[in-house]
Amino acid sequence: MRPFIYDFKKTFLRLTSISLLFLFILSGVGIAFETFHLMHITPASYENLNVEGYVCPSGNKVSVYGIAFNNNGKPISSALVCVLSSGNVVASTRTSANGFFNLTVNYSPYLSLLVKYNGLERNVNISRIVGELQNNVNSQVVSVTIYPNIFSNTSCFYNVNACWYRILVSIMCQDNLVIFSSKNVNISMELVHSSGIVGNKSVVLKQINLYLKKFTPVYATIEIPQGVTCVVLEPINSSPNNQQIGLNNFKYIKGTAIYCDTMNNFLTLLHIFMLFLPYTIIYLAYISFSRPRSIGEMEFILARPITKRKIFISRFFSNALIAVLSSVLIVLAPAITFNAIAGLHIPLQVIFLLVLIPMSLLLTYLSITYMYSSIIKSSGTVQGLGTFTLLFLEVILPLIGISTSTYETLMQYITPASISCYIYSLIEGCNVRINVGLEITSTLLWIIIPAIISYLEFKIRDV
Amino acid sequence: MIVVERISKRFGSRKVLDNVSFDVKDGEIAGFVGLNGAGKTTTIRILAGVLTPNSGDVLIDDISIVKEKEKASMHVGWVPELPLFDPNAKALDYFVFIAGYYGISKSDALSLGKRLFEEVGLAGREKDKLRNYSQGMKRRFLLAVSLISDPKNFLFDEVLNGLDPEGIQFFRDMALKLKKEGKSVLFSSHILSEVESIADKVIFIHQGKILRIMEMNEIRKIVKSNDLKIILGKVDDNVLSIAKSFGKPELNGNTLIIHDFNGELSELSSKLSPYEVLEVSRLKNSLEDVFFKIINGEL
Repeated sequence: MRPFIYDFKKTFLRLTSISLLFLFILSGVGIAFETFHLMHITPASYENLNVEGYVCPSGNKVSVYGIAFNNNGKPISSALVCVLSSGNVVASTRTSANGFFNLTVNYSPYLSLLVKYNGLERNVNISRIVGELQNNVNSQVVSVTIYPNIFSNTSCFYNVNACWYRILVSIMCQDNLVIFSSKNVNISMELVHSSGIVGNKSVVLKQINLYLKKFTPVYATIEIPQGVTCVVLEPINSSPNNQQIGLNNFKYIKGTAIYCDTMNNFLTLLHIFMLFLPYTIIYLAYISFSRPRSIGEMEFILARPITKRKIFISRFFSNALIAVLSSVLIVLAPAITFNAIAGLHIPLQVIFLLVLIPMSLLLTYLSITYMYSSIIKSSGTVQGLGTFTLLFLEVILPLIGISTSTYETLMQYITPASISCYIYSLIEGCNVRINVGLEITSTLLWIIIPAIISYLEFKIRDV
Repeated sequence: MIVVERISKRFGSRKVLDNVSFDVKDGEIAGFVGLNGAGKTTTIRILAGVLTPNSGDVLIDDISIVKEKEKASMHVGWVPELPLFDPNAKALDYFVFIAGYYGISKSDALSLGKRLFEEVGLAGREKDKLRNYSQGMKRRFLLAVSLISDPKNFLFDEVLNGLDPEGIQFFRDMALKLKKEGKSVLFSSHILSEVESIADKVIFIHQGKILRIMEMNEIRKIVKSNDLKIILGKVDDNVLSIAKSFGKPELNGNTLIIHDFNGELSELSSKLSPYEVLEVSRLKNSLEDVFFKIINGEL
């Protein structure tokens, strides 16, 4: 093996580097769980079982029509469905191949529905729904939807509870739709980009006409265009002024449906972690470059058949590769965790964008530490300076920005990895006025300039 | 063969080497002698490829270490004075790590390491951490590392410093063994008596300049003196007047030194017989004397 490749490999495979990768994986998984925690989601609430349906009282009887499906919008068959009265099972059945179930029982004030599948279970208070129904004499059917996963109330699933038409529409992970209607109806479903729910400026990005058969679920996969902000349901051949249903603040990222809240929590945590994780790359640069130079080991290696230029390049790029991999892992680990536990699919382009944030930050601090290491021989001083720079740029400078009302300018164009402002705005769908070119230039300069200074200084100076 | 061609080196504004030129032929041990700060270690570090000269060149077996460092480094082994390695590493592991730079696979490096550790007297200590090695063991380890590529040229930089007599003997024998194998050895040391005992020639460096390069035969002629040392059983004032007719006498206690002795030894002995002559010997200058004479411009 050529000495250059050998040095690259040895630097890459050193224990510190491998430990760093594990640390980033653990941090990523930690971020994922902390996201769950921040959203007040208990383990029971992100189980991969969804139940929705209708409660239909008729005289002294109550009928329940429902479906069970998973987070990917696929029907769950053979799930056990029971109706309990005061805790005692009064009727039970199993879901059919399309996840449908139907039970009719005598009314009692303590009726509840229990659905069990694969160790998971969901409860619905039927009597409460019947009580609500009795307050609305015009209604004959009450719909009930339970979204028992981590994103149920505030996150990944977009649901349209179209009571007016007695139709339930849920957009699940990976563009999968689940539609369950309590009547036979022809509907038009429009995927709309709109500044409001019913705005004149709405642009219909996609329209689908569907015939829905009473209590027969439809499971479909549709390609949801980028930019969809709400879903509008309209019965075909009825008045155009009929109620249109949609939700505000629906930010649709292609490949899945994600609410801002979820990503906000995740990004906030990632941002907090990124205040500390650059220290690990400072330490890596210290171990790989600064310390060997300080204790004379670099000289000893330089007496081998390898040049100074090659030692610098192999070590810098080996550490840079670790920085890139660490960045991938700290984003991929939570993405996989989300998917494994909650079935949430984060699209690749979002992962790619997210990776750029830690990557640019880690590469900046790697370059800066290498620059210090090339100029200063004392590894202790290098480590101290690197840590101080991190504190100054990530903590003190933003504080100065806040106190002088220049925070946004500082964060967008001056501090390292300022590209993250643009990426955050892209993912969160916020309208922030940013000069993207300037952000990219600033981010690249933070990486390239210290790296070039480092190389030139190392080349000129004696080891 | 090592050829040093007019190398100069500055550290900032301070010129530490000025047009240094010499060579060390195959099968030759060249002593490299100078005071602290004379430029010995800087020269050796340039020869090892660790430092780059500001001007001049170094040829290791006709390959320029300045222009073709990777090739030239294959032909030179460097034993530095200070232990320049990670002290927390285990000896054999670190040896294998360094061997990798020479393209030696791990398994080959392990067997080579075991052989060389035995050769340098470190057998059984392969798994020790380098920080637990004594000064002498560290030097032996550095020697083992310098032997990895079986180079034809060696640079021993103050390897005898801080060693016990056994260690000194080991490195002296090693230098002689390498010489026998037709290898060139540049041997820098403060212990001039050791240099004197093994070197074929001595390179004198002072304040970054080569003052003289002398073959050992030439040095031996210089160190050979015409002074006589006589130890007497008893002395009185008359001893000096007797000795005056044979040279320039000097009396220290019972020891009589006669500088520039001119006469017959038997005649002197008979004249001094009343004073019980215990020992008569010729005085010899050392390399140290030669060195200081060169520095002071007396030679």
